[in-house]
Order: sequence, then C-alpha cells, then structure tokens
Amino acid sequence: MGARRDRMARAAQFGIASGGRAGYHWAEPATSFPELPMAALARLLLILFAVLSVVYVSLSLYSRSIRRDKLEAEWDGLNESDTEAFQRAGLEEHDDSLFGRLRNRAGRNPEREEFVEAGLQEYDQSLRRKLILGVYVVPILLIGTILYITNYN
Amino acid sequence: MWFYIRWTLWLALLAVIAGFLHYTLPRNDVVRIVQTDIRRIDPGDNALFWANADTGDATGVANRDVHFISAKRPNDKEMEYRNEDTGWGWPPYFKFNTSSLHTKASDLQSTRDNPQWVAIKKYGWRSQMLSIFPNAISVKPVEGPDVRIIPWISISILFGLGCIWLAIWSRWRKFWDKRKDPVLD
Repeated sequence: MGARRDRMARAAQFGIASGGRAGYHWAEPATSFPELPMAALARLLLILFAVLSVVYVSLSLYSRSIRRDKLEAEWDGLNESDTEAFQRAGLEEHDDSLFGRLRNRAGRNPEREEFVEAGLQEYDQSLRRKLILGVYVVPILLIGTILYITNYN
Repeated sequence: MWFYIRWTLWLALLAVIAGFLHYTLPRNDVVRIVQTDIRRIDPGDNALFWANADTGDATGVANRDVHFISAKRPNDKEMEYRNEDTGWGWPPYFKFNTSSLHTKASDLQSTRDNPQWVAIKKYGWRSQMLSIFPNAISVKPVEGPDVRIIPWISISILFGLGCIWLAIWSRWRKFWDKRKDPVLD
C-alpha cells in the first residue's frame, strides 16, 4: 500500500526532525485517518466491485444489443416478402426494391419497433438477463473456494 | 522495416504476458526439505517480488521476518522458498496460513539418507541475482522423487483465459469487419 508507506515514512522523518525518537511504535500524526482492521479486505472488495461493475455494465449492454439484433432479424425474417406486413406497417405499397427493404428495416416501421421493444421488455424480466449478475456472484464464490482450499485443506 | 518493428513489439508484449503468467500461476516442485527457518528481510529494489500482505500486522515497517523453506531437488540442486501470506492481495491465493505451512514443512524435513520427498506448490521465481524466492503455497508428501504432478489448476486457468480472449477477439473481429467492409465494397 504505497500511500500508507509514504505517510509512515514521512511520519518517521517528522518524528526525527522534531527531536522525537525514531522508533518502531510512534503516534500517528493527528491528520491521518486510523487504518481500519481488514483494510486489505476492504481494498480488495472495493477494487473487485469497481472492475466487476465495468464488466457487468459492458456485458449487459452487449447482451441487450445482441437481443435487439436477434429480434430485428426475427421480424425481418418473418416478413421479408410478406406484402401484408408492409401494408400493416403503413407503407402504401409493397416496395420490394432494395431501398424499400432497407427502409422497412431501418427503423421507420412502427410495428417492427413495437415488436422489438416488446421483446426487449420480455428480455429485461427474463432469467437470462439476471444470470449476468453471476459476474458478481462467481468471483466471490471463487474467492471463498480458493481461501478454503489454500488454508483449511 | 515496419514489419520487424511491429513483430518486435508484439513479441515483447507476448513475453510480458507469458512472464506474468509464468510468475503468477501455481507450479509444483518435487523436493526434499532440508530445513525451515526464519530470516529478517529488508526488501529493497526487489520489493516487488516480496509479498507485503496486510494480514493484521504492520505493513509500513522497514524490515520483517520471513519464513523460509530450504530444499534439495532430485537432481541434487538447491532450491529455496519463501513462505509468506499473500492475504487479500495479489496474486489471489488468499494464503493466510504461513505459520501452519511452516509447521507442516518442518514436520516433513528429512535427511539425505532417509529422504521424504514432498511436492511444494509455489508461484514465483528463484533468482540468486535479485535475491528473490518463489512463495510456497502448500506442501504435501509424495511417493518418490520422480512422481508426476499434472498442473490441473494452471491448465484450467489458461484454458479459461484462452476462452475469454477468443470470445472477445472474435466479437471484436466481427465488429471491425462490419465497419470496414462497406467502405471497401
């Protein structure tokens, strides 16, 4: 722990400079915070929480975008050459040109949007979505297991 | 020219990663324990290679006592291990049982004439030039000097890391291809 070491080094020098005895035990300067017991554990948990949160957020966003892609592909696959779908979608005629297809896919289709949004809402409540919380759970279980195997086996 | 510079940089990066893994992952030595003792150590430039786990005792002190295990390998060469808590720090062995390990290792001491071979699981490197020692994680008795120990833990960690890397890399590749292909078309 670099910061603490620095502070202690300074404390010792201060002690010597002010005529005090440099020793193994010295009073902590009044400005410093007392070290908590298990500070190392607190530090580990803090770092772990920060790192895992980054992983959790990235994984959530990634998984949601994959889900969106799949839902869009599902809609496009179902309705690719379905004239009715185009009409339902409010397009005046079945525009089977490349431009028409792209326009149907490019998000100007409210039914498609609705379909995708509904699918995403379903996904938000699914078990699959909650499994991403394993990002937090698995490392903690792993730490417990390693701790047990290393020390009590 | 650029070819060589690029490959040198890649190889350097690869060497750093490989070195890091080689230092950190557990490995097994089959040795005969000669003695266990405690020496006062003042980590200096090599402080990086000494654990300074905050497991209850002071961490800012200039020197401290470290447990050591001295051993002989089957090829009659010497090997020394330090025996330090890694605590909650890096590498994540969560080792707090230094004193117990010292007891266990002392219990398994043996003589040249009547050897008791043991497998020591350790991480780290021994370097006489830097005065650094691998950190012993566990000690267990084995049959003989040429028993074969398969490092399942290291294998599974490397496998896991490989899977994670492949998963990220293939997705990155796909993402990148999607971005650049329309430009080329």
